[in-house]
Amino acid sequence: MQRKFVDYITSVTPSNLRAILEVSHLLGYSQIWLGRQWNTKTEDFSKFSDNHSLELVNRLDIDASKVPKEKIVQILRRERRNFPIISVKCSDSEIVGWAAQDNRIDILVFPPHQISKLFTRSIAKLMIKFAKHLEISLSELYLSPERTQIPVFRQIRQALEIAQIKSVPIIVNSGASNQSELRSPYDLASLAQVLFSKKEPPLNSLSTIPTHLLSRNQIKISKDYLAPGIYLAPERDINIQEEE
Amino acid sequence: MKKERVRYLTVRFICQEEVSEKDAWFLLATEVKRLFGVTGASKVGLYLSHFDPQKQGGIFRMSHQSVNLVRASICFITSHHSQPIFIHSECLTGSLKKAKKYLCNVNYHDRYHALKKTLVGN
Repeated sequence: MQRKFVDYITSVTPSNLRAILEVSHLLGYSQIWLGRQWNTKTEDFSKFSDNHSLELVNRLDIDASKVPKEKIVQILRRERRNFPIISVKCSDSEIVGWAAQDNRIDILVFPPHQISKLFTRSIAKLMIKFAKHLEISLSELYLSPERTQIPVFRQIRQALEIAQIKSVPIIVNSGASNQSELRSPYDLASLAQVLFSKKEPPLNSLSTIPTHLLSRNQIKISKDYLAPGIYLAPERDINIQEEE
Repeated sequence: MKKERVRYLTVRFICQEEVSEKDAWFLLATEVKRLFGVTGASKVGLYLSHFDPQKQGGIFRMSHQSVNLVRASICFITSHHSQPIFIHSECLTGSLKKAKKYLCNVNYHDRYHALKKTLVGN
């Protein structure tokens, strides 16, 4: 079976979305996560995917350095059922500790120059306990100026080492904001392999891990979901049981 | 001595200007050396086996263990003669004959033109 690759795109505008989707489709992606800010109006982008076989998924991105914690709680309460994926970009250790334990958050993102400071072993343990994913956007690495590449490489490598030791699920994507920043999934996997120091390219971080997260959350935000492991049975089944 | 196993990577250069054979080699070799140093580059054993200036495609030969190093280096190439460039790695094969076949494949060629149209605009 062919792999289904997923990529994430930041700061989408309708003007460049068509070109981004065209390039993504040609590069071999089948699902695109579109990053949205909490204060921007949600637009229907489904018409853009008509020409391609791409699946578009809205994702809520909250930048904790711009929004106070109380406001983040409000946003999460309001938007959890509207977005299948919610990520928080953590900028200080207090937010990281809180975000790692909040069940409404799916993905934790760290600034690349602070990742090894914020993503510690204890945070990794919390992330495992509360089923959180760590996201690495590789465009921050390959598009950064040459003089900052070495420290960023080092920081990401250290964080990935901790994530691998503690078995934190890692999502790798481009995090591109325009079409020229996109890279093919195999190129991204190869770059991730250099960072992971693994023998095999981590293709699962670009395909199975994000798709599993999405399918898990789509069940969670469906109307039939009540609590973990408890679902509303279809009416037809109840009638059959009563007859019996 | 055990014979080295090699892989052939077909790449396409998408740029406003046409990329010459010399530039194609220089772009990738410089980036591999910048990222992995002289010792890393020596392990890669990068060699431009074939270049088609009309199709703007090249076939690079490398050691089978360092395919990922070359692919990782491709991610970092963003400009050529102060103009944006996009390098698309098309396919990886074990023989030069097959790599040439892929370079001439109509589907891949159409995809290259579609990418060029979207990225460069002509």
